[in-house]
Amino acid sequence: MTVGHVVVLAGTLFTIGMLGVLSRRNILIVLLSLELMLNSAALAFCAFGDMAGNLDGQIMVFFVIVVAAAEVAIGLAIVIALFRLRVTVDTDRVDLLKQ
Amino acid sequence: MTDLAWICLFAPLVAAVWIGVSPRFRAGAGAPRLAIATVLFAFVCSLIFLFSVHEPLQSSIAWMDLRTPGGGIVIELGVILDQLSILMLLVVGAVGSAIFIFALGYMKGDPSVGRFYAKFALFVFSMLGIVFANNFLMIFIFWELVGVSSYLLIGYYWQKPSAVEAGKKAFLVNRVADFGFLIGILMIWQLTGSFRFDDIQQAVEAGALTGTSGWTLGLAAFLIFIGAAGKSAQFPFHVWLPDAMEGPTPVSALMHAATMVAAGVYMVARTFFCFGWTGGVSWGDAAEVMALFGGLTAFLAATMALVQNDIKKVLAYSTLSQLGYMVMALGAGAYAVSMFHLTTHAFFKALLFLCAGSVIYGCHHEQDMRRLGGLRKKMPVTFWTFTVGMFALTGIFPFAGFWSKDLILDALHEREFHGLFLLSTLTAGLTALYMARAWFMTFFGKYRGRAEPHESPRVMTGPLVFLAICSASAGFFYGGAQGYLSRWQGMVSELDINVSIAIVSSFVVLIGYAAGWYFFFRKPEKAETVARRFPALHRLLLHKYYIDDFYLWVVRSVQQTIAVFCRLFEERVIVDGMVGGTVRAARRAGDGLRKRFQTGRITQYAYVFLAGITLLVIVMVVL
Amino acid sequence: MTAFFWLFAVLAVAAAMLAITRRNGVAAALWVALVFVCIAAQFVLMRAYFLAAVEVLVYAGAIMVLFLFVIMLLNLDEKEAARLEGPRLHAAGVVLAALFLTGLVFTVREAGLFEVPIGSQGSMLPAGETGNVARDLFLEFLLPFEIASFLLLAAIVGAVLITKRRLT
Repeated sequence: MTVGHVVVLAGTLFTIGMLGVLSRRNILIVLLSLELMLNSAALAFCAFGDMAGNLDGQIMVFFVIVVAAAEVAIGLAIVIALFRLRVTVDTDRVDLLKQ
Repeated sequence: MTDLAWICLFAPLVAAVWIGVSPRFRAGAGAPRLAIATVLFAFVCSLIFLFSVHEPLQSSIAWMDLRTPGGGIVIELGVILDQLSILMLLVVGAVGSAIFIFALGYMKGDPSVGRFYAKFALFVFSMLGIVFANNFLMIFIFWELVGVSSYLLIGYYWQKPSAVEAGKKAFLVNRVADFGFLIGILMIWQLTGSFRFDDIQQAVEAGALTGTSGWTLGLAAFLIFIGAAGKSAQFPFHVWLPDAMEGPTPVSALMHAATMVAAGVYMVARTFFCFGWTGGVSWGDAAEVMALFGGLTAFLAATMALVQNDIKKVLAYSTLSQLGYMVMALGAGAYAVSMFHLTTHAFFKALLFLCAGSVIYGCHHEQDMRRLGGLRKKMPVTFWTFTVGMFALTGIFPFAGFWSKDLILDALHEREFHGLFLLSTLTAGLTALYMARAWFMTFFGKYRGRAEPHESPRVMTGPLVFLAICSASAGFFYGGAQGYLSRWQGMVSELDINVSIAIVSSFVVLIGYAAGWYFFFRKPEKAETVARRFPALHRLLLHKYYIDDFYLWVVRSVQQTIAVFCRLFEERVIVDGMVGGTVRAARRAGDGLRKRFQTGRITQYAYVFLAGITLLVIVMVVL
Repeated sequence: MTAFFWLFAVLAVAAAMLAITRRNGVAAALWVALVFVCIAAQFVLMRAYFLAAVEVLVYAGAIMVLFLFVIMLLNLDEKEAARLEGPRLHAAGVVLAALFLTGLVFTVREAGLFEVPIGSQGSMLPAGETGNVARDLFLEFLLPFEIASFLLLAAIVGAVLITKRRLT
């Protein structure tokens, strides 16, 4: 078990999350995939922190978790508001950014 | 001592700013008092310096440090206290104080008197900056400040279109001349690597500047003289000065006597080492050209003064003429004499202007001499002080002008400028003629105006008397003043009164007076006859030698054509072509991008994102 | 140790794959929870005990509960759910992802990260226990910590505001 192994594991999870974002139309699953990506980044942080020999990496992960919590709260709130407005959670039908 | 100089320099600025930013203070009676206090303070300072400063003192601070490892420049603010600046400070302080106090009466009842005094104080600040400056950049900065404040003061009556025009004219003409000045400064900096006067003087006197450098220095000196010619209103930049009479009379007095026009002469005296009469180095071409311009101005202005009907315009042309004398003296290398004439002239010209102001005030703002007259009895104090001023100006023994003008003639004689000597002697006669004309038209004969004239109040006659005493007595100090100034540079040959020249010039002056008496008092109709006899000459003088018309023609036909062409180029090529083209290109590109890529679909954005990071990773691998 | 790493790594990847391919939101969320647990296990292997606990508590606990809660709250009807079929994997996306992963592996090998075992710093690195992390957090990272608390506050207020029925 080396740092490289952990980083590649993190990369794999990140790629899977990315594919989830790309291929799913259900906005809830898209959000879940985003969480997956965030977590893989946290994993990589922890591995590099181990290599650096101090706790900074772990503290960074802690902050990532904080940010993720905030992001989920807001994201889900947006999903609810969106659903109330359009009665859908289909990303393809939410294209207001075009305007 | 230098601390005092700093305070003295910035006090008027503080006053001006305070009056300017505080509307309540501006409206109150405190504003004029504060301004007057700062000028009186300058006067007191000058007296203190006069008696306690024996060695030149300097103090400077780096205002902007633009040094680079290889060179660069430091822009310094500095004060210099030597005989020259102290003498000039004395003139500015004494004359300025008298004028400031006089203005208290003259501007009474003007609703925006606070604004007037704020501008006045700013003007004095700019002038003090020139007086104290110890380097070229600082003098240039204050030079421009004088330009701005003169613009503000000439256009003080902003309701009058002619005043606004005159302000603009003064500013623009000065700007043209200042351009030459700036180039001159830069050339000298290129030659010596410094802006400071003492460094430059050292470099010049070390004699390192010979050959091409010497020639360049001569050119630079000439360009500096052009700057001085702009402020001192020498031919061909003199056109702004008569128009500047549109400002209130105290402004004209201050500008003509102690500040603006004196600045040019002072600056040339300050930088005289560039003009080649010190240290045995001789590239006096610039000086000779200067003398020539001075003589030309003196003579032309005197002839133009002969046909003016506005009392202030007569005095304005006489100022031009006297400045011509000073510049001639500078050109002859006698800058101590020139500074002495500047001093005496400051006193009697301020006096004459203030008398004119008193007349204008007493006759309810009438300044056309054809509608004045007979004021001798109505305004006795003004009459007598005007008479003293006139005698001083025309050089009647023993009034101030006699001594200073005679010294100038002397200097011209010694330098063997025979043509200029004759011209200036003739000009002395003309001076007597036009002054006699103004005198007789204003104070003798019958009163031709409508409103009843009255003598001015004490606050106005007081300064008149003070200046009259100065004008009458200043001449006796000719030896002292020269001696005092020689301590500054130490190589001036002191001049003494040459009796034979004095007799000749006095004789010419008396002829002028006699002619004036005959044509304008005894037989006024004869003057008309003479004017009719030489209609071409009369018209030439009335049109001021068509110089203004020539400038107008240049602006209208030459400059206008170029401007029209430039505008077409700008509109068609730059705006339509380049600016418009850029806009069109950007809009088209933006439109294309928006339609192609901005679909609002998150998935698509995520694709682009993934492609981006993949590209980054690939780049990292490849590199 | 290495055996545990491989066990949890394979488990995590498999669970993640399953998660993004589930049609049912609840199933997907539960698989993601398993991924989080696996990651927590990885943290333990790297002696980051505090993080492992936080991961389980916050992610697998709070966040997943929030997700499930919202999924059930929305209660998508049959028609809507039918429209959202399974994943539509595009070739371009898969190719890009594969490229990205390959590139990453190359980069990691170039950087020599496969030669650095976990725990290479030995006793230099304090164990990621609560006390040690807290000491660093409150001494060195106090300001970011406070800022993070503000972020959470803002998120709470924002979430309430966004979901309020009527903005009056």
